Amino acid sequence: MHLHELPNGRDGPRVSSARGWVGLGIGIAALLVFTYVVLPLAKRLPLVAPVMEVIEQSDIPTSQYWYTQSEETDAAVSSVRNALRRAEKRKGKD
Amino acid sequence: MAQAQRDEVVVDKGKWEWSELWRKEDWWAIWLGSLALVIGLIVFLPRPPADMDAKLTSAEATKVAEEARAPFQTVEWHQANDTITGMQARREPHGRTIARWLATPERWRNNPVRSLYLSEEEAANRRAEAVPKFEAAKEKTGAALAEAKAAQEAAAAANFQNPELNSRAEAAIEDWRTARAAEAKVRTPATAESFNRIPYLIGMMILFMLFFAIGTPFMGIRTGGFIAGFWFVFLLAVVSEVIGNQATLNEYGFGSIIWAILGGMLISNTVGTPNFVKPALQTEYYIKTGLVLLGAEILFTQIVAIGIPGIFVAWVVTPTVLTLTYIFGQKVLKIESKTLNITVSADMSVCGVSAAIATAAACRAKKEELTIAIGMSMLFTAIMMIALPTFIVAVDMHPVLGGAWIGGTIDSTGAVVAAGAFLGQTGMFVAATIKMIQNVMIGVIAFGVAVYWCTRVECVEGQRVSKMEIWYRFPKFVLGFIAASIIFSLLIASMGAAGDVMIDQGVLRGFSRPLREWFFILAFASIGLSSNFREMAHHFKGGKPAILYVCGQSLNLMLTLLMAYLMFFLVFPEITAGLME
Repeated sequence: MHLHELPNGRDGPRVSSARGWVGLGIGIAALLVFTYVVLPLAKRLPLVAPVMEVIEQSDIPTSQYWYTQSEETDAAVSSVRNALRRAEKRKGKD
Repeated sequence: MAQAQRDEVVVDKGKWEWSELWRKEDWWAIWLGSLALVIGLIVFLPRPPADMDAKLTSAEATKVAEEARAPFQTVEWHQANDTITGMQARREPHGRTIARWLATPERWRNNPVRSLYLSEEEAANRRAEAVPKFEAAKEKTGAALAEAKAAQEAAAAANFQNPELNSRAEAAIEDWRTARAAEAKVRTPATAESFNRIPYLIGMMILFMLFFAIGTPFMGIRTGGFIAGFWFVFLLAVVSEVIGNQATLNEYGFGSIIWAILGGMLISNTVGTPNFVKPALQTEYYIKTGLVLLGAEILFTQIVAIGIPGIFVAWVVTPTVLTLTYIFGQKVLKIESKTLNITVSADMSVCGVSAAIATAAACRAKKEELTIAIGMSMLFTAIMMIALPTFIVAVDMHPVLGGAWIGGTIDSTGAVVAAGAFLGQTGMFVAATIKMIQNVMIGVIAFGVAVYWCTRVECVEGQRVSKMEIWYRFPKFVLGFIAASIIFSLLIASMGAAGDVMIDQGVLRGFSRPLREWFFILAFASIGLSSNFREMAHHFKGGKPAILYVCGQSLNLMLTLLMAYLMFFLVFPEITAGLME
């Protein structure tokens, strides 16, 4: 990536100190509204509710982005391997 | 004429200097990544779980004997299998100590302090609340096991020749497994312990700071400046981890990475990134070191996990969609930046965040381009995680087909597992396995993109690039990434069952993975702190990246469904039948 210019490069638009802090406050407030108002409300939508209920009950960490982070994937792979091994053996017997 | 024109073009010819080995961050990423992996091997390999070989041999022998004895997986078979899967080097005392140090903040809902600190009194309250549930679950598991054993004995008395008794035993064993899984879920709160993450986080900050500071004087970075600014980047990384572990945000898949970028951007675009922090914003240094560690987690032995259908769904459709989406972006949408095009295409077709990171680093994309790709991936993943399983259940699609469709199209592993869980256990197992096989593909994709960029993109049209020129231009960290993948794949394959216990469940999941997660979050905090909204808007001009993502994903959805149907229902129906048993 082209990032060598960063440490000496631009650091965002120049804003006055007061305006900057207000902007930061607005950003934090937006995050709070998103987390505690928008997303919980979206959870109640008829299309969204059933899936979110399963996620909540199963306690699945949905933000994992790689398979080694997921214990469920580990169990899934082991189970799939065993199922295929059993099917293979049964086929051999037949 | 053409020759004359070509001669007039100034071509930037690279040249190799041995000093690159200690001056360039690509090489430092390889040295530091290798150092971390070697430390992991030194810590874990000499300390296997007690009687590991004997237990593994005995459990494997029991499984074979039980498979020969009964037409279904017996209680003894499951117990032997639990012995094998439960044996993990990271659960040993040294593994637990490392986990305590490298742990990220805990999940919380209303009070963010709970992610970093839990008093003994609060832990006791949690335990008191959960223990009755746990005891009840334990009792239920015990009763279910007794029933399963009785049903199995009845089937065994008939020499496993009575189909009715066999199915009754199989159903009773299934009930026992379900009860056991439910018990495992309530065990965690029932054994809750107090914790204080803050001293460990301070310790990790110092260790990471020293670890990365090693290379700074050689690369021309002011070491003092780097050390002075590092704490701020680490603090933003910790805050992002805390936000990303908020229960509601986590349920939608909005994890720490996006908060590191947004948090950093919010600071840099409002109050401004403090000057003293800038020497520590070494995005490439962190990300490439993390990528070398990620390489070790790309185990080629995993691609056969679900047989040939999985290879076709994940390894044929994925590169096809990637190539067609990239061509569509160039020829139809005419996206100005090829690096943005390939980063979004890889992120959408392969596996989201990790593919975006690897591809962006391999083709030297701009930080804003990586941010756009990751932002879109997270947004569309949240939408697809809900829409796709809802549609699959509504049309009553077969769980194996639905699972394969989800695994091949939804970007991130966590969202795939969540969407798959909506289809039931089989659907989730198939979805997660397909996703894992697709994850492994990023090694090949990153290498292919790096070579393609050196030979075709970063050169004058019609110019023939010599082999040495390719070597000069090649992003060297990719060599470390590929080497780590090959070495660890061979290591795990040569060790047999012990490889899973010691390497996969020890060095990788117990050491290099948490390190890699920290390095990536440091990289994204750096990206956020050095980005500005205007630059981002420029790259998003005309909404072309979003159009590219939607069109590419539509093609991905169609091709994956078609290939999954062909493979699991027309060509290999016996595999589907085996998975459904």
